Amino acid sequence: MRNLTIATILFCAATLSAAPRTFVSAAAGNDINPCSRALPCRSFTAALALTDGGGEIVALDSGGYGAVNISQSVALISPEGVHAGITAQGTDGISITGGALNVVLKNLMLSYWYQIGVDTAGIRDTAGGSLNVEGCTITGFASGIYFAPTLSGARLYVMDSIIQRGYSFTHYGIEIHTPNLAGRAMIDSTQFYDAEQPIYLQNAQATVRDCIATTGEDGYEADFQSGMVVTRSVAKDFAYGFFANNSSTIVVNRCLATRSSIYGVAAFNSCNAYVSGSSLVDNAQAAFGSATGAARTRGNNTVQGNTNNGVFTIGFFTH
Amino acid sequence: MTMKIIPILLSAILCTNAFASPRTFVSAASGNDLNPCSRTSPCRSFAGALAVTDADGEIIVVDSGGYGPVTIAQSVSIVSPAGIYAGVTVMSGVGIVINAGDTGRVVLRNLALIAQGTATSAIDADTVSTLSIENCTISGFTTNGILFDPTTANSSLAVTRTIIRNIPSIGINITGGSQSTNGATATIDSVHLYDCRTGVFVTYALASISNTIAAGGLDNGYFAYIGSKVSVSESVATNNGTGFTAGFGFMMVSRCEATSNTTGIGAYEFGVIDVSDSTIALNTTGLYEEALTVISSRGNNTLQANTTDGAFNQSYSAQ
Repeated sequence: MRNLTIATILFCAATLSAAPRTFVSAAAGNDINPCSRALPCRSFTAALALTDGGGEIVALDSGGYGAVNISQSVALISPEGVHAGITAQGTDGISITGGALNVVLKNLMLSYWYQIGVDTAGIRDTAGGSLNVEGCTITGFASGIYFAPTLSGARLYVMDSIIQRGYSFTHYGIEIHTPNLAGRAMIDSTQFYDAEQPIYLQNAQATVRDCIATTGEDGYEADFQSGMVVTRSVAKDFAYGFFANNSSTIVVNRCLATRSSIYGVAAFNSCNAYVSGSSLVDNAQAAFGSATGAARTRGNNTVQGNTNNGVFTIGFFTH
Repeated sequence: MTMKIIPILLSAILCTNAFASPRTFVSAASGNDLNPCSRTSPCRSFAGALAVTDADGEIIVVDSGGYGPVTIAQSVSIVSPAGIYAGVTVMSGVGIVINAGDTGRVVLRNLALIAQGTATSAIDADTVSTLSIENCTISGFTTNGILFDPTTANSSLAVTRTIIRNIPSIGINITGGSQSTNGATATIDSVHLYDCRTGVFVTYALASISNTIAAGGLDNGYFAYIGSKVSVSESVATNNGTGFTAGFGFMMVSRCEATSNTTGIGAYEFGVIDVSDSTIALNTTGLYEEALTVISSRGNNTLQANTTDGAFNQSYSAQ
């Protein structure tokens, strides 16, 4: 009789069906559980295996839930007030691979302890489809978010997040590479602290609003046929605050570039920077256009208190 | 003795659910819909709690979990405090039907409505005086995120701090009547519309939209359709078919960004759009006017770096 009971339990465990919503708990979870509300799992990885495509995993209480590889559409959700940590050592925090997926990461805390020479990302997306990062904190990876989808038309959406250096090195805050794939990003209400390059685009377009970036090398950079429109955002303590390079465009509206050690706004090789309604204050030089680049002003900017208050290449018309 | 106890017990049982309360509670961890929905004996579902909640009362979520679809036929607030994940998974049809009557007041706060299967709309308002949707998340519904089409005259909708994702039709659909306006108004603030085929669609109603982002819509970011007036300020439309659209309706666009759309701002079918202090950049076509339509400028816009800029066909002055 006892054997039969055990066999039944094992059978049931082995045939657990996936659910649209699963749960993890650091306090009471166990990865042999069915990841239900009453019997939550311990890790995101175990819960993911029992979550329907397009389903969601909810963290019930504060704790660490482990690095995870995602290859299906899913939402990983920690309610406000719950600290759902992912501490990675020598790996990415969250890696997303596969086809056109819709992945949502909400209110997660990803952190990495310093390891020289290891190229890690808090979130690495080489799939396609859409990635939503909402209310996350990412600390100390080589890249906070590395977005290099292998399908065309992929979208990255980041809001209400913090990407920072913490104890270890962070080179890129958000790094987007989409050669010939028309990758698009919308980034708002996000802070970048001590990332060498807070937002870096290659062959992509991004719209940025209400962001703050402090302390690094290149602030907001559109590189290699990229376009970026930045509004109501701050670049403080960079070498270059707002930066277009290699046949790219950057549009700067109602922004602040301050304490740049070289240029507040810069347009290099075959680039245009369009600056409107912005303040360029306390920079070594307010603006710069290279021989083939043009830093353009709409004539409504505040350019004061810079070591060199020049030099816009040219103006542009209002419409 | 026995004869006395039985009536008392019967009375107790009968009375358990007989009296509605101004405040009721639901719990996924310990709730049961046979309970009186009190703090100590919470119910399991919103539908169970609503049956014993006073008109103008409130239902409070005690802990994280799923609470099921519900039809609301009275004034009520359904409230999930920050730190608690209150999910409503909808397998088919509508998640929350609101038929609260012509004087009904309904508040939905911090709920997550998730579609599986053939779910059509997350929230559908049939009769209500005021509906407030605060800090909610809506994802994956096939027809509408929010359908606000009440028969009630002079009804109002408020949507704040809400995220709506992956709607292959319309994120927020506001319809005040079928032939002429019934006085419906909507206020939309700090809403993120990601990958909704059309973000906000307004017919025979007035809508004020601010601090909102519509990104990744195959058709439109914001659409002013017949009999509508739509004011959009401090908002973004990026990577849509057309960012800001008027067809038969009127739209005011101020301090907005139209970026990376196929068409940044488009007027069709007698539509009129006034534009002030906005940026139209990185679109395939910046401005597009059909015959007999107007896109009017206050002369303070940035129209640059589109494949084809297009041109305003009227202007208006600051006062």
